[in-house]
Amino acid sequence: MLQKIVVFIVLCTLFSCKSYLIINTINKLHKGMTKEAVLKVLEYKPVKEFTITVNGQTYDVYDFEVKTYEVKTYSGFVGVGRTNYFTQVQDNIDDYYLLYFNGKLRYWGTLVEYSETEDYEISVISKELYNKVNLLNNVK
Amino acid sequence: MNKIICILFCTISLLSCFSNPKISIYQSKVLQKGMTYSEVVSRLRNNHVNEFEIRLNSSPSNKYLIQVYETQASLGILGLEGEYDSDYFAVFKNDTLMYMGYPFDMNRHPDTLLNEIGTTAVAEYEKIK
Repeated sequence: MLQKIVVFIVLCTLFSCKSYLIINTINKLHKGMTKEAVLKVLEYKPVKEFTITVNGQTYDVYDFEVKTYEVKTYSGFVGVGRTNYFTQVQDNIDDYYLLYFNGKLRYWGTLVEYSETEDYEISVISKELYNKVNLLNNVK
Repeated sequence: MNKIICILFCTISLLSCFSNPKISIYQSKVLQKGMTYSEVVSRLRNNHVNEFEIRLNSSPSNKYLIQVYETQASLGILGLEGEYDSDYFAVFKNDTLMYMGYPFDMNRHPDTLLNEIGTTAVAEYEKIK
């Protein structure tokens, strides 16, 4: 009986595993990497590939799925003069876009990160990226 | 026999929970650029998992101290539904905190000095961890 339970748990674990990028893998990326070097680090294939053109320059975009989490902190009153903080963590699957120029990695992140970056060139590109992603999602 | 295994498993799980040196994302928000090394260590209760020095190819005379923390977010009761750990770096130059964040954020930053620090620190940490 115990053996059956163990086998059941192992099988459930194996079947529930879906591959997503995690932060420690993304930490190994750096600007200037080739597409082959990136794929070797990530060990996943993109779910989508497309190109965008901004100011006459063409960029290749690889779309991966990444597991992210959002932390929200709430404060709550617990007795005289005491406030407690409650943290809620929400799990998300986001699209993560790797941007290449001339075959070299230029930037990577979620759509929100593209628009919020301090990198001026990327913030300009982000508008075109938003448009292209919306277009592709509507076609789907 | 099964009872003993169960009790041992529960004890080890509980002990590992209490001795966990990981910091939460909420805790990492207490850091500010310009803090001294001892202030950072004190704010994060000396919970760093590693520490090492790097020198950059572009300026070998400058050395940077990298402190590695692990950030953790858990889902569900006691983290049973999922748990994600990520390396989080605090970078010091001359005993002053100059940057803190995930290495990937340093590597894609418009500041090329931060790019070099991030890339060098990740490569060095891969060797020693």
